[in-house]
Amino acid sequence: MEKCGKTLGNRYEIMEKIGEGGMARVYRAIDTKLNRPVAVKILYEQFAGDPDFLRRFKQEAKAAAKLSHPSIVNVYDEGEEENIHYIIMEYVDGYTLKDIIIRDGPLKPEEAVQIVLQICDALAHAHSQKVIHRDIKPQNIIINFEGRVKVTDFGIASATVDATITYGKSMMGSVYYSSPEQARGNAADQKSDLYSLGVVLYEMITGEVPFSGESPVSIALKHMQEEAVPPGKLVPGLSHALDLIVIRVMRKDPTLRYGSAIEFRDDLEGWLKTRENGNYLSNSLLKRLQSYEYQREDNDYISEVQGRKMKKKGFSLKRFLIFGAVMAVVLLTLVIGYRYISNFLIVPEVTVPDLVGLSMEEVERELTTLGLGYKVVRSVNSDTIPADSVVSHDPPLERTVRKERVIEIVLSLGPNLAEVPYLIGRTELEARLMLDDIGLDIIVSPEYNDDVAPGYVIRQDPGNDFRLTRGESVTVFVSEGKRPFSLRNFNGWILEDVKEWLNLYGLVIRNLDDDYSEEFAEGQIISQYPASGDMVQAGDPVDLIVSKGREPGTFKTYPIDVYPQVPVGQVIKLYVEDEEGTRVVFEGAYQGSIISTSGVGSGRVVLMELRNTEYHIIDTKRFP
Amino acid sequence: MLRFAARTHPGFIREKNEDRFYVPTEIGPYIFAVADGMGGHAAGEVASSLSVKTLDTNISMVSEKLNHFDLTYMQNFLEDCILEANKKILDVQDEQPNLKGMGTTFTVAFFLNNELLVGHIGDSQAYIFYESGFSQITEDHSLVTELVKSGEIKPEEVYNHPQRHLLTRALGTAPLLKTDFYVKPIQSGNYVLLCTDGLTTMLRPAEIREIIINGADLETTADQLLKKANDLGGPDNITFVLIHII
Repeated sequence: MEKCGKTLGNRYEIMEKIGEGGMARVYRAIDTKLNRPVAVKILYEQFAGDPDFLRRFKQEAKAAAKLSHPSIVNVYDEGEEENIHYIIMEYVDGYTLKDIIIRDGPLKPEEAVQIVLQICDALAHAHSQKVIHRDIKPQNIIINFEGRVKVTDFGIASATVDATITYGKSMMGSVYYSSPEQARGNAADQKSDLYSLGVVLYEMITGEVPFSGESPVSIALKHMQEEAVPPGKLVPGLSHALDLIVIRVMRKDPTLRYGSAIEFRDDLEGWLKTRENGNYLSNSLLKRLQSYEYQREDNDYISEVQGRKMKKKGFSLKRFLIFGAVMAVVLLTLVIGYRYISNFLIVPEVTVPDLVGLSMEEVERELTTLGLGYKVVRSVNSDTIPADSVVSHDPPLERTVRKERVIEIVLSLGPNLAEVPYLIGRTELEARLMLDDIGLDIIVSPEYNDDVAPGYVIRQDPGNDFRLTRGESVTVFVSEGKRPFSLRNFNGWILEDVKEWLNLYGLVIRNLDDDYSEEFAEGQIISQYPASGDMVQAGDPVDLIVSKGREPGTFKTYPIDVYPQVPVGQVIKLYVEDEEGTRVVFEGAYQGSIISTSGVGSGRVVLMELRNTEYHIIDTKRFP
Repeated sequence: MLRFAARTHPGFIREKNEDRFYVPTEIGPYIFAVADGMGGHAAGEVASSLSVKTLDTNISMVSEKLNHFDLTYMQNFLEDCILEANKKILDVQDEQPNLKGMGTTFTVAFFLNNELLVGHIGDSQAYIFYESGFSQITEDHSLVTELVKSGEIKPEEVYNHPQRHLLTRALGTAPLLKTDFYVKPIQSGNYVLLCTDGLTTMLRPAEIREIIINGADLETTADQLLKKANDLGGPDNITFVLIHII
């Protein structure tokens, strides 16, 4: 709808369209009362009919209007006129951050951080007023020509979310900057804004968003499940400290992110200061960064830092060997001495008690009172005796032995159970070997799966927290690849469309030939392999033959039936004029039946009858 | 041989009914469909009607070939209908910017002897109800379904999830679309239900089965299903086709 030239609220004169969003169009306008430029956001007509939506829209506009900060695009006014709902905002002359990234690619880390510092200020102010942005992305960040950063569209996103609930379905949109909790459907809070800002920082530094994919769903799942590649791996030489800041602000678990925009800001500012003083990191910042590292469980950087510390604590092998040798001599002397002496002493006799099922502490207590020694000779599995308790001993119970006799003890390893390993993501062979190793059997159950590559384990039963008796089996469900489907018929389709279709279904073209065709025009598919109706799986190859039109010099042959409307016996002549020339196909007395002939390409069939020694045309038939 | 009953109702909250359905004419092949339009300001019903009309036109052009139909032919035919409808919905949006953002779900079923072919895009659903249970034939093209599949949320969280309305596939939203096709064996005594989510957000499949199995006749059953869903609030348009194989 053309709105340029219109004046809203008797005050705002609309000049030109400057943008278009998911919910509204934005125009540049002149506030004729204050004689200054403003931006006018006009809600799309389809939203204007919904009172619920309008109420929320106004509510959000009012909340945003409360905010007053040099880095927030000011909302001045909102109103309605002839069912046009609008918001009047500060006019910012500049580029969106998206424009800048598209045009210049990655920014210098220092520049990026300076921009983010200003956004942090904006967020800190908004969050203090209990306003959550919910949709921080480069498209909502404008940088004016003085280098001042302005964040726009505070809270508008929540009005849209509510609106889609009222309005029912909508297509899932892009979620490049959405926090895991928002992607999962939980409420957004100030930490969600921080995550999104972290993604923006990531994109500014590396020139690409951390998670991309073929569909919004796959991107949303990556936000929830995948660790982003640390920016330092994409930007060689990037400051390690900045890398850690980005990783922290983008943590999946909100409690592990910065607590507030101010905290995030402080770290960035600290980092920036170190840049100005060369490469030196301030002590407090370094300490904080290290504490982030310890919170991470599986990060490359932890091992790097801890590895350095390990070296300092390192021990000397030489010193250890000398110490060991001395101790061995001492022990050997003690053992030999003891044996030698005890053999020559007369000692009283005692009866061996029942030790089966006792723990080692109990054995110790029992035998010490009796004056017996003991030693553990081996450990075995037992289904009845718990682990670390006595399975059997020698001499057995009730045997009379001399005091100080050493009782040999066999300890239980517990039941002969194997802990089921985690097999998901392994190949079938790996799973087989892993189970074989611990004495479990495998049952392979193949099934189709769209996400797991063929040959890999999709799921297992029982799961990895189970223990099984050796010899029992684990069922692994192994992917056979994607669900097969019946291939459609492409005859008559143009190649470009088929390519797009095949791409959508994950099929690939193997052989692409062309051939002449009578039936199909140039560029259309003549035939395919596999045939229409054959079952295929994603990844399968398809052969296609494309028509290059009719073969030059060849023409389609059309069958032609002629019913001469003449009495039987009448002499007639029938000739065909076509691409091959003119030829007589019948001449003589009519027999009273259909005359079948054919024509090539295009032309006509001419029927003549003999009258007074002269042939006269009585009928012509054109073909095709 | 089969009998069917169809219902469509705006529910008690929405002003408009953006759902459409298709049932066969007296001579037509056994093709049934439901479509649930989306997009504010009347756009939704434009999209859903376009899809059903395209199906209708295409069926009437080929009904004389009725005897030559097999499942492969029909799958090509139905996919062509869907792609054609998709293109029409996109074209209309180009011509009329105020309809931008519209789209529709489309779930279509074709019965041939002992087999059922279902083509599906969006979050409407097709079920088979048996004497002893039920099975959902179609998988929703929605964010929440993906979240369940990836283990991010539990199946029971779907019904109250704030983003359950977000679709990942719908007619009128991309130049070329993937249609999911399913072939299922059916036999006498089975019921097949095609429905928009207005029915299933109110009634769980087990409850639907209860009503169907205990129903006196198909028309009464259909009335009961509609009433039950509306009694529970009727926040959305409700549309379904119930088919009894006899």
